[in-house]
Amino acid sequence: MLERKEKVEIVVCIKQVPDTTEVKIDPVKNTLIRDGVPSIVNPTDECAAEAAIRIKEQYGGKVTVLAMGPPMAATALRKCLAMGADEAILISDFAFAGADTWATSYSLAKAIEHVGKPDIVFCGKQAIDGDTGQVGPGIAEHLGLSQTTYVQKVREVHDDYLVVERAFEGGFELIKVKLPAVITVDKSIEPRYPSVKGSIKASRSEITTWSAKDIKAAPEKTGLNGSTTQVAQVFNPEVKFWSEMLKGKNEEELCDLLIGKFKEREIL
Amino acid sequence: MLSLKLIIFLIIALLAVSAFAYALNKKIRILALGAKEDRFDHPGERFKNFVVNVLLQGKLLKEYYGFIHLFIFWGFIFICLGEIPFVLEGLFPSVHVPFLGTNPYFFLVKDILSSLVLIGLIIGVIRRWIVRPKRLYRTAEAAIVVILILAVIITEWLTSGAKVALHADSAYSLAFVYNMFAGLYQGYSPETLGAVIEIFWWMHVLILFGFLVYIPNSKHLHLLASPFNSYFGTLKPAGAQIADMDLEAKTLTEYGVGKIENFTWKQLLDSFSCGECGRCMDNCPANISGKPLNPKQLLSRTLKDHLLEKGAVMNKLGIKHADELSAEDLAELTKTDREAAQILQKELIGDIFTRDELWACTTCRACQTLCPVSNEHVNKIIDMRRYEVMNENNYPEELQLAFRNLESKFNPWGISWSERAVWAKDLDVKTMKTAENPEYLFWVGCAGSFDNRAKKVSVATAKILQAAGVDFAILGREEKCCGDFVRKAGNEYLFQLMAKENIGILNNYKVKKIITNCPHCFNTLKNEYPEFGGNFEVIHHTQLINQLIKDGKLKLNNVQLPQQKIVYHDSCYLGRYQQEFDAPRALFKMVPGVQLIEMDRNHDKSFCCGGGGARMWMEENIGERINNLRVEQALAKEPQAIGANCPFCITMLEDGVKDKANPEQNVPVLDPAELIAKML
Repeated sequence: MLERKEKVEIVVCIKQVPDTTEVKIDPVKNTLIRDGVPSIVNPTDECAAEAAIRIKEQYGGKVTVLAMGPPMAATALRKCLAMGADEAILISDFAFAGADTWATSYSLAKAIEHVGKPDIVFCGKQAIDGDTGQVGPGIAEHLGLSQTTYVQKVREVHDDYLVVERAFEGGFELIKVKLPAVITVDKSIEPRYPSVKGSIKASRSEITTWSAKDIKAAPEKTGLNGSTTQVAQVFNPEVKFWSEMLKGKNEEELCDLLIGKFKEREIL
Repeated sequence: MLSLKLIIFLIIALLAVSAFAYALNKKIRILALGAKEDRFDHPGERFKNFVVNVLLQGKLLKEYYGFIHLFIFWGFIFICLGEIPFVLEGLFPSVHVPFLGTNPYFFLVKDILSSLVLIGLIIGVIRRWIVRPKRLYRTAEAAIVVILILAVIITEWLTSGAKVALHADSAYSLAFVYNMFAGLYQGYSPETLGAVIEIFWWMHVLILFGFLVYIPNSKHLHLLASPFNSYFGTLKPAGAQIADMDLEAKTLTEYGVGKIENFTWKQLLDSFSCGECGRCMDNCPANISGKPLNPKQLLSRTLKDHLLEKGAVMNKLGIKHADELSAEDLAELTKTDREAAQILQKELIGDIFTRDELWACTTCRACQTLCPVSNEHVNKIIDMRRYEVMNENNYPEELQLAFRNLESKFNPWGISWSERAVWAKDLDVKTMKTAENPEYLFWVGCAGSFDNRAKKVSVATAKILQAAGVDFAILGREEKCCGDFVRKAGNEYLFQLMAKENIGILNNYKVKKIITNCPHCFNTLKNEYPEFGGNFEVIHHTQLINQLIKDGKLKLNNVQLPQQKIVYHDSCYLGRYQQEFDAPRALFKMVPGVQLIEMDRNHDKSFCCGGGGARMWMEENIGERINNLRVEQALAKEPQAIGANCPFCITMLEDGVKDKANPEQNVPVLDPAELIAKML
């Protein structure tokens, strides 16, 4: 098997998301209530960082983690530095505010261009707050790279292609993808627990911050201006429970009772 | 003109004193290799500790046979004083040392004390070689010193007895032993007596000098080191002794202690001070339950031997730290002195001290509390754990899960942080967010918030506080693990992260007084948070409930409860760490029908449940389970219930009861608050 000879340049796109077990939505602003909710690295983005770091450890090279968000998102980048990423870049600007997946992927693509010409761009398959799964593919479109989504394992790394397992329900496809490529990964790639030494080093590291101007992003394509979709309404689904205990002498009578109930509620 | 006797004496004295000074200097130079630590503050307080623990032998006398050491200690001092006239008069017969050589009462006291030393030695020999308790090592070193002390005393008596027989000096009129020995020489001619005096005098002097040389070269270095060790012993409260670590300091590149020279000089002095009495190992739950950790072995053998060996090589090479040698230097050294190079390359953790030993400690502090020479064991363990966790990323796998849970869910159980206040949902308990400057914050702790058993104690406490009209609130979702177990596991980084976040929240709400159920939280909040800017008045719920009853704020109904014998278990973190033994006991005694009884190991000598020092979150695969041993000790008293005061003890002991009690024998483990709540 021809394995890769050259070092790998990798960019990992991550997102800081609220760690929320019970999502609460602000009915007025249509956004998630973040008050008091701790922030974490989006779980599959952590897997993406892990996939990148493993490749770097095997073939050498460099892993750059990239996030778009407010200054506090630096915490998420530091977590990836602690895991073993080499550099962290935060793109943070009011111009990015209110971006949908299209504008977000445009901004991230511009930042990646500013980083250089990576061989691989890793993303998590989707973020747990928006759940769209569109940003990774969006980046690939903006940069004109090949892409494979829902990757559960990177099998082989070659100079000009990767062999990856793309998961689907009940199995996987084996895909050969030409480099440079955007790969989005699922949660199968278990992220490591960073060493304490790594965490301390990361907590002291400088995070490079770029503005929209720095990455030469066109103002009309970022943030709210560049968004082609808009969230009209977000709401908590109303959960209606209906339960009733039926009593009957035998199975036959119980079945009749049950069918009666269903008919009553127009289920049948 | 110098007499021949004086010349010979001076030559021998010079040789002996030189050998003594040489050996001592070697030890001091080794101590000087240790890291810096300021133990020179508060000389008054230190002198007081010296008086109590050295001159009065305070810590030794906590055990009844400590009196043996008291006799030997004071006897030794008087014998040494008596050497001054004894030696001088032997050299210059006409000289009489004022007081020491002339006062009959001095000789009376010296005779009494010398006799007590003799008795003490006999009891000591019987204990060590006939009774043979496990904690005493029957070594040649121990035997040699007994023989030397005996020989010193007896040759002195034989000489002085002959002196009395030859010429009854008024100074010896009250010295009953001297006079008894004089009786042995009845009928001897003055010439013979003169010869006897000469012979025994020389024997005595030679043994004395031998002893002098032996002390710094053997475990009896204890004699020289331990008085200083008591003086330099820590002055901090029991719960506030963990060494500071400034994680922001850029100069800090290696965390914890992974090389013996990274211990402070005081930590090294501990090893020299150990007298091998074995009180530590006799009370160490890890040692008793068959784990490889033995606190006595660790200090007096493992670390000491390594220190002497490595320190000697380092001093020979003229280096202060093994890191000063580059890889090339070491390769070079291997060629010239292979053994020295090997010694320098030994790993403190792994080659000298095993990881099984390191992780067996429950930080129960029994060793340190009972150590008569004020050795500080627990910090050494934590320093070495820090090295393993923070530097080497090498620690028991189970701990990683607990660390992860703490980072993401802020509790070691890994239950969602959002469920922290669920235990209180049916109680009308306010959170700090909604309450207006309540008098107390009720710090519930992770166990009290997430563990089903401990939640019941939280509920009982809240109900009692409400019944007494205490103005309190909880933090609810804003509370995070206090960080006790991660700190004891050596993860100082995660501890400081938790501590700083909690302190930020507490200070933001201007919290002054904190009530807590958990002795671990109690200790951390009270003793460890001040270092990070969190200064709170912390009170254990059992203390507060006592106070509320005393102040008449909590009225208890005289309810009918079953007659029961409750055997009480002191938690380490409320007992040894805070010296609070009475508050929980007092509450149990207030409950109708309760007869409170003690286990054999209680108060200062209480036996750990096995859950401290992060052991709660680790597997216990070696030896017996510590909690099972404690439950056996409890069940031996045939109780109907076991009383406790700590959520971790309750969990550990309940597990033990499941293992050790008959299934039909229902022995619950209770917090006193649960019984008091029944009387509301």
